[in-house]
Amino acid sequence: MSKSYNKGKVKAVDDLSLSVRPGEIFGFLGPNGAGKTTTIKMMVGLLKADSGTISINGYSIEREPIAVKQSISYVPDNPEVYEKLTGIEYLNFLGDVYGVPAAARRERIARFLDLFGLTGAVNNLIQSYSHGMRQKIVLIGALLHEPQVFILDEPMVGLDPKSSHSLKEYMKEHCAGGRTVFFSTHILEVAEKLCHRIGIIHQGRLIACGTMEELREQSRDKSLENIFLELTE
Amino acid sequence: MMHMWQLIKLQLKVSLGLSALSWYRRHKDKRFFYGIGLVLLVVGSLSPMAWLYFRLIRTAYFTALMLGQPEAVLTMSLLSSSFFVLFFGSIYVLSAFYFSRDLSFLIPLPLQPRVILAAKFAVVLVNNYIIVAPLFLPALAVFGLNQGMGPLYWLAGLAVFLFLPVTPLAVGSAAILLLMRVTNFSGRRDALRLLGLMLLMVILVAFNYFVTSIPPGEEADFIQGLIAGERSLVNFLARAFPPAAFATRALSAPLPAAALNFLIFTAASLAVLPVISFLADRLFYRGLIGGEEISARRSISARELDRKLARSSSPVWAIAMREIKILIRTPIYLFNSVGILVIVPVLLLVPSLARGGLAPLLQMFTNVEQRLFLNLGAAAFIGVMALFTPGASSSFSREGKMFWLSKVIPVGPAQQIKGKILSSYLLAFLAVPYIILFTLFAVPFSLSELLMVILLGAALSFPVITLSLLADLLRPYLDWDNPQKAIKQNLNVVLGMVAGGAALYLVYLAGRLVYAGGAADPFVYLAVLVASLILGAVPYAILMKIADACYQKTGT
Repeated sequence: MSKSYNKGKVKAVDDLSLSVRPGEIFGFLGPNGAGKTTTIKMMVGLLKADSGTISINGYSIEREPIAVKQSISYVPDNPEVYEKLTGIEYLNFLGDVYGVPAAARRERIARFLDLFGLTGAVNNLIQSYSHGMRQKIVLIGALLHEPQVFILDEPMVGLDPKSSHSLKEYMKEHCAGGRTVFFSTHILEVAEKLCHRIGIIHQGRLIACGTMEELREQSRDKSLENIFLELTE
Repeated sequence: MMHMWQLIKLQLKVSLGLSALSWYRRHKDKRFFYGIGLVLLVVGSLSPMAWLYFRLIRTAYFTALMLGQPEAVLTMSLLSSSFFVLFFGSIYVLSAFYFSRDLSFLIPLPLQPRVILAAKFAVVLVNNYIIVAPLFLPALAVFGLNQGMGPLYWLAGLAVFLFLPVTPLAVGSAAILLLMRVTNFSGRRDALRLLGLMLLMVILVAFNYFVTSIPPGEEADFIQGLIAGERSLVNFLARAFPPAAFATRALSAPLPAAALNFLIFTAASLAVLPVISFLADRLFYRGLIGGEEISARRSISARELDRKLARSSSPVWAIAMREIKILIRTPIYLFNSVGILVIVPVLLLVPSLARGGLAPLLQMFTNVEQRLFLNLGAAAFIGVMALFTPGASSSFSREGKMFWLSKVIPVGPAQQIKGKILSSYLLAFLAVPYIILFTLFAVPFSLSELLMVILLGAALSFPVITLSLLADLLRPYLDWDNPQKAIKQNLNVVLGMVAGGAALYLVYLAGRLVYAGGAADPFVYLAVLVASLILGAVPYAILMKIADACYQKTGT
């Protein structure tokens, strides 16, 4: 797929082709402005690709957007949420729109609130939440319907160490059940330790993709940081 | 000083959207001309009102001329401009000084408080010219043209126009700075906003009462009473607010006295600025810092959590409830969408109250012999209330930066629009209690009549709601940093009202046509019903057809 801005003058994503498998945690790396967020926004239906196709879970985002959206969930890099709703109202709203049955909703919300340490604040208006708490409420909302594909843009930013750890553990658990996680990050250590495969995007083009071992084979160096720096220089 | 000018320039560029406009002119000329065209359309649609005001000023001028004091028309307009600036400007000052989102970016910069405040003051000042221009310029023109004034008058008039809002704004700013220093309001911005809006409502009602208490046909006598004599209202207010008197004499007195008064007026306007600067350095940060909103944590018990999660509902209902909850919890939305449903009926009743109570009005309703008119009038009331509430015409805009969520949830845009229609209906039906009160205390409706009134009211609201939603869907204003902008600076609200008003007028014409043809009452009702449904169904069908494409291209 490709996407450009300013009537084609700026190529944000340039002929990118990528396949992510079930049960995989896929890390999407790249310098600032490389095209990570644009790619993710196209995947979740926030932006329309100029050319190419995106298929998730066998559904085309172009032709069957609702089926795609029902099977994915998305956490943006800067979570703008309804400040005038309480946390619980926001979660209930998402439960309704994703059609999560009441019993499952109760069980999952209680579990995730506990996991991310947000139980005490869930009854407050979101406007009183800190950045990290907003990030957490968006995460919980995104996990509510147990999505087949979990897509996150810079999810660790703003999270405290405990919540960051909980999220990483949950990602593993999520994939163990045959589901998929696709996330962008700048934290190379996280990508190195957590991801089954990694893609590196630079100036809109996918310049490397594979397991850590495969990436190491492409480069003489051992660390992801040096591979990343060498490729994106 | 350098920083101050730089920051003023930056703030004006941001506030007036000059940079964005210039960018659009160079890169997206279609959007640029679209924006310009819309502004012209709004100005054009307001021009009949401006013409009415101009005629009122002319009447006032000739009345004042007969009394030998034609300059009173200038004093009146200078005073009304100043009081409007003092009140509306102060609300704006409060918002700009204490609740702008860019303060968190500006405060950590190595700038003096007075520099930040000067930039904010400049923005408020420029925006206040929009208030002053329609109030003052017609009086300046009427007086100048009728007195055959020369170029110096027009130059002095321009200077007076530019300086006019400075003093009232400075007075308002000083009061706000002191208020915020001695109270703990900055942490309760919603409460403060609601208080300000309620005060505005009281002033509007009082103003309406004052205007409508003028006996019909005696407007000239009323104006005479206002301006004639030392103890008249105008002279009293001019003494209370001397800049208006100086400005009047600067524009109307013979040359040496005019020049002296002009100098006093401009010097007085400039003299208030150092005072504000002094107060800014001493009070601004003390009232501002520490006012971040931190609400008490109310933890929730497992049982309460269970109870709150026990209900699930359909996506359409969930969308409607989200709209309503956010609307009633955001004071500016609440005031404009729900408060207006309180204000409009009160404003409609005030003329009767001002002229001796409600009895004659009730008598008038009781005397309506044809039930047809009463029933249609009551239904029209519901439709007009739907027209006055900007709930639908700002529905997409109010989502602002949260619109991403509407794009990623697995609920199609068409379904989401149905939720918005539902929430708009819930708002429009807030008019129904008025109808019930009317039937209880004025003219009783039978149950079947009441049901028909509600049904016809719903039908009349249909084109109003769908046209308003369509106006907002086509060009939603999402890029706001203050919810006030989503509703108060949103042209879609005006466009929705104009389109909805036109639709109601067409329904009226359809009903009148059938009635004039001598048809029986049920056919008139039917004509109104069918015309409303057709006029509502067309924009509804367009909404459903374009929803996907519009959602796709809107926001990121």
